[in-house]
Amino acid sequence: MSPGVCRGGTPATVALLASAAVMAAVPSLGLPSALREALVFGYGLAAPGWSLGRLLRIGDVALEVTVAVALSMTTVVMLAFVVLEAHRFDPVGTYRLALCITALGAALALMFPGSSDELDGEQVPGPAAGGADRARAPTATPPARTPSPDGPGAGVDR
Amino acid sequence: MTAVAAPARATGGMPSANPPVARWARVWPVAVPVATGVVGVAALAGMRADRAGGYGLVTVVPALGWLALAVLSLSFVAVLVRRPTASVAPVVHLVTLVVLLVGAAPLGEGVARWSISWYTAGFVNQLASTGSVLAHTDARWSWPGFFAGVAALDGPAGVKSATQLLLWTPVALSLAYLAPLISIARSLGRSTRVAWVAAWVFVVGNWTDQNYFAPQGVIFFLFLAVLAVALRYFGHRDSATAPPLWAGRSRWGRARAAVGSLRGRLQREDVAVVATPGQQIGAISIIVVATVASTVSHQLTPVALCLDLASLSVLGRIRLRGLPVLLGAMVALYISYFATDFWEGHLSQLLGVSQAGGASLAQNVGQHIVGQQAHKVVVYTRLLYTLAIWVLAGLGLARGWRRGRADLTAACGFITPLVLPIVQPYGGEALIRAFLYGLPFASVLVAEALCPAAWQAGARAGRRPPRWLHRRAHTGVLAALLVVAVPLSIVCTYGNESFEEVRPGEVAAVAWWYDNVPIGSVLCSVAPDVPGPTRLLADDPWVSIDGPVDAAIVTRTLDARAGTLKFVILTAGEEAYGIVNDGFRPGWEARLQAALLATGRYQVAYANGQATILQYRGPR
Repeated sequence: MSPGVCRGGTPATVALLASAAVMAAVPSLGLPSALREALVFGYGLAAPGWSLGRLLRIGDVALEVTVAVALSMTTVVMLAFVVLEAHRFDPVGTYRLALCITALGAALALMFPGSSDELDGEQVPGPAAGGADRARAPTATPPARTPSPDGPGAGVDR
Repeated sequence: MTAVAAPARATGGMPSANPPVARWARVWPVAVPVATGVVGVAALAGMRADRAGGYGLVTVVPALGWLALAVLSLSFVAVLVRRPTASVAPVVHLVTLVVLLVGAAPLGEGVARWSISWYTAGFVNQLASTGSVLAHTDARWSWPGFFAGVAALDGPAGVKSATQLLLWTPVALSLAYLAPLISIARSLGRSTRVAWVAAWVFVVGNWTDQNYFAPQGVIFFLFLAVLAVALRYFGHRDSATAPPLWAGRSRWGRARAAVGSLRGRLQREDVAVVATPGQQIGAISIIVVATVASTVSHQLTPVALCLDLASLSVLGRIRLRGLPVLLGAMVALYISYFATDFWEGHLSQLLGVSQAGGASLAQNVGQHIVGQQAHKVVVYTRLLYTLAIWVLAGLGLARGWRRGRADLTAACGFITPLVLPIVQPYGGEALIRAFLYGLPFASVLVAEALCPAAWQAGARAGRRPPRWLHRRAHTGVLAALLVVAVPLSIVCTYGNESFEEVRPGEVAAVAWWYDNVPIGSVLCSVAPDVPGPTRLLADDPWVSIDGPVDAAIVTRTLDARAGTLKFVILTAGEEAYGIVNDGFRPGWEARLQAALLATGRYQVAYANGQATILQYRGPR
């Protein structure tokens, strides 16, 4: 992935937007029950968070998956909790709100596609130093992409 | 594929003279785990789980299942020895391990285990059918976030009962844990190979069985995710640049060297990502909203999370100084305001005034070492297995120290949760939960202890590489330990399967009861091990007897309850629960049933091979 660009780029963003529209129709399409369950739970527990998490331009796949699932769970739980506390519990309405958030995240990614001088969250070990609460000002030049704990090359151990 | 093919030395860079061998070298790192997965799934699906004895599933796992797991473990080490350049092969191994190890029960039993998971489904069904919580009936309703979240997806998914979701939830959750575990290990400065081993250790080391359909399993994922984001964006890695501890020649020189070495070991190396302000705000937002979602869903996990973040912050291992305080205040506010049902009944426990720390620890350990001899053996095995993981984690710390690193971040995440069982027992389960919360970090330290030096990220360039025999011996020890850990993990996880298993006949009996008795009826179980209640929590009160039971106690219990009709349920799971936990003699339930029928006040309303429901006809 190039720095500053959401993983998958514009095609993935457009696919997320389109999938939100398709998933809005899934409950009323008369699909086989097992397929419908898998689609709704799979999408509801991955897509909203993926859509929002992509805005962070996370460079690491494991963390991107983590953020996608965690934000999706959080979105569903918090929406459901809020409507429950408001005494207006409505599963379909909550689901549609989650789809709206997915679409909103995708729309934001389309509106702000990022630029090459944004950084994508690559780890850069600095010099061994104590006091470390220094604020890190974003720089215009992306740092070298070497600093994984394994040394040069992603995933290669020294 | 991920493996690096062997260089074609013999042909001087020309195409290999033996193409099938070269092709196999590229294919096996994925083909072997896939094949062992297929064989293992077939073997476990044919397992006779109903014949499991006092030691649980370990006595009924077929030979092919053991073979598949052993080959998988050896193949995993072999793949790592070859330095995978991509993640496919290790990921396939880990996924197969989860499917075989965590999926053993769903494959072999076909019905979701743990009666409590069926009760949790009852909470979701109740909320989905009424759109509200049952305030003042059960403390768990004070944390409705998880129930509401599942109910919100149930409707659009067309799920009629949350019991449909129970069977494969442990496998799905265990797979979900892998990504944050890898991320945490990498943020602690470990190489990819050590990170893969840490994830493997977590899977085989997690005997706590908290990944069933319940808030704690799901919220544990958020716990891992928050720590992964915090360490990635705001973390400091422990430096590995310290000189040896006793380097000087004179006494003064040695003292100066020791001080310098200690300072070096405690230094922090910045690994927080170079992030834009927007990314930092986004990361903080994720931490906050995920903690809020945890707070409204589970009692203990957000407390453990705040403790971890606070200790990391105090030790300077993350840059978020104020955030743990803010999150802790939020958790305290929620418990004070929204969870009054809980703390009104548990105030003394919350404040720790009823039990000294030692008493709490004793309750956490002592209350589990009861009942049948085989059960005690299983509990002792769990204790020793836990101790072994902690000792290996300690060795990992020592190894890091030898290499000039204090590893404070990992030590902090590993040790901090152990405060929980000291301050309150959490129904005798706090030690198990503390072990679980510390396990992600303990796994990294265990991997540090087990992996050969050449796999470590901080291997010093100038150090003489270990001899060939030493390297091979180290790899062999790692492989042997991973192979041995599998059966130990099965004993620890599935050792109580005789009563943790839910049988099809028990589910059928509960379903019959819901379909055939009028609303407002009472159901009495003679041990707390019946799959339910699964719906109508407000209308159909269930009552459970825990401990010594006879016909008079059952009748008194039913007489004390108001209800349209009254029933007693007797199941194979209850029989096993009484034998294993309470030390009752085998056949105690049949004798109880005979005694109840002999009173003339009960009649059989429903029976199958695994469950009987008696209807109580009231006082004579």
